[in-house]
Amino acid sequence: MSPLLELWVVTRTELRRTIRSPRTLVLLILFAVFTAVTGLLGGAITRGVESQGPEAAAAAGASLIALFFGGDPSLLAQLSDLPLLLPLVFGACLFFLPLYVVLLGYDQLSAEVASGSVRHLAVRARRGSILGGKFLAQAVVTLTVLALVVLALFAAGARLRPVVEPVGYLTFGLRFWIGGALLACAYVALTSLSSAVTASPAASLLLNLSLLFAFWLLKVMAGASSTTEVLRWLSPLTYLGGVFVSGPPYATSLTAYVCFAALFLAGAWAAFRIRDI
Amino acid sequence: MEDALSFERVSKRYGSTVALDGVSFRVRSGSCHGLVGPNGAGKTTTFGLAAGFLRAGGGTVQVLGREPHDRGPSRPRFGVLPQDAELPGYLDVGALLTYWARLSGEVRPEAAARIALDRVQLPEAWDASPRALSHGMAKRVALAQSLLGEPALLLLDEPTAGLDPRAAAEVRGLLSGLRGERTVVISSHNLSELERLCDAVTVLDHGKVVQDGSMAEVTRRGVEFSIQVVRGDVPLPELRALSGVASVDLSPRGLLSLRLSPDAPPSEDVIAAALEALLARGVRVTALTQGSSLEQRVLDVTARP
Repeated sequence: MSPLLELWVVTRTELRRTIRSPRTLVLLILFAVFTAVTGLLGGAITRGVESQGPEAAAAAGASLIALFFGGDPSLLAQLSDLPLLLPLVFGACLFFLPLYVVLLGYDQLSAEVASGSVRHLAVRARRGSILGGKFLAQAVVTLTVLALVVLALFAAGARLRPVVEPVGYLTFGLRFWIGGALLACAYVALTSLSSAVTASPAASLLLNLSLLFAFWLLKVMAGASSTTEVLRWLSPLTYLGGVFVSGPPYATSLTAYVCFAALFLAGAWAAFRIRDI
Repeated sequence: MEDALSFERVSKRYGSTVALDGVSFRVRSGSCHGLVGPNGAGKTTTFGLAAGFLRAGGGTVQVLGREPHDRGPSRPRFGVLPQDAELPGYLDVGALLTYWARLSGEVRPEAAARIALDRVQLPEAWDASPRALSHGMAKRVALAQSLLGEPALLLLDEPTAGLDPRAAAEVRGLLSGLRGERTVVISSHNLSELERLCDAVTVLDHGKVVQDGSMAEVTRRGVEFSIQVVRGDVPLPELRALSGVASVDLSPRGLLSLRLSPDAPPSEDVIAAALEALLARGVRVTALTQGSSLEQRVLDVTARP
């Protein structure tokens, strides 16, 4: 069987497994509830800001955007076209997406290694196909969830501020989704890595959460001092703001997430290829 | 004839524990080969290395002339029944076997999966969840998956462990049917089962090969035999004087052991002469066994000091 066909067979089955899993359903509901609550809060904030009149609303919106995404003038200028609700809610979704990804797939390999069931698969499929299939299935589910969030948000945004052209919303939506999708892929790959190097689901969950915390710490602590500032570029969180704007920051973010995804996946493959199962 | 499986000075460590230490043996194509030894001898590690689940620390493992990790287009076609590997619960048995059959390169995966399940006499499990199966049924489903893809070599780790006597007999029947059709390597603690099924055996102890050869060689069939006597005066000098007899021992329980010399005539002739001598003296004979049982041989070669 060719590697691509094998990858497709494994991905299809893993996708079926993920979709049928009660855990996926619970996480989907939790993510939907979280998005809805964030949306309601964002809506309340937006209404509160806009009730202060156009100038005051613009100033308050700029302050909020600066608070969540940094004070980059180009970012402020681009996001001012959109209802405040959209970047706020989508930003919150992206911030918590890694946690959702961890809970969805932390045991994708480690549980099968612990129970020995991966041996039934490893005797007839390349380990790269097993790893790749599991990664792709998790990524497809995550990206679909993200697409639904973007759709819901932009539908709400179009109702809130119909003055923006539908094409404008479509462009923003697509850009947000692509940025979010690559960010999600990087974190799914990180989950694959954590699961590939550990021998039990508990260990992979702990490692994965520790890595998320380490990335958050790296961004926050490294940025506090000029000597260590360069280190913050090693954290995927640093590139989150770039997802919301066009131009070089957007391209930098996308490139960074592609690199992170490739690095984590390569690490997972290197570890899983040679490990005892 | 090409070896189906060969280990050449293979070693494997888990941390500071030596699991295999310079293990070498070969399995002839088309044979049924037993792998035996006490717990911790290294049998499961040997299977793991042969199946490509584990990486050797040193030495060479070849499966059907190729690396065991090779999963490329010309990969060795072998099936594995891993010990204690759970069946995943995310698909029903039929869907699971179909999935594995597809990955094994079966052109009609569902049909192949049904045939495999029929061969282990469990067609009713098709729609069952693996989690709902009893231990014995799960073992038979695992055995069914090892038959997918028409493997030239089957590696079966404890195929009858945990099965009730009827199911174990059915599995033994299945394995007997596979003899000659394909190469089978079986690890088991059920030594009488292996003695009946296998042509050759490798005995491991403390990660080393302590005995390796055909079943006849290992159990010394044709080289020694035992006669259980219950009454009468055993003519020991007369037996020792028989042509081809190297030594004769009589245990207090009446077990007479005769060992043949390398230049002995055919063992049937020596047995006939020995029985004639015993019966002429009025000795009652209740049993005759050629060689030692595999169990006795394994106990002998793995004896603790």
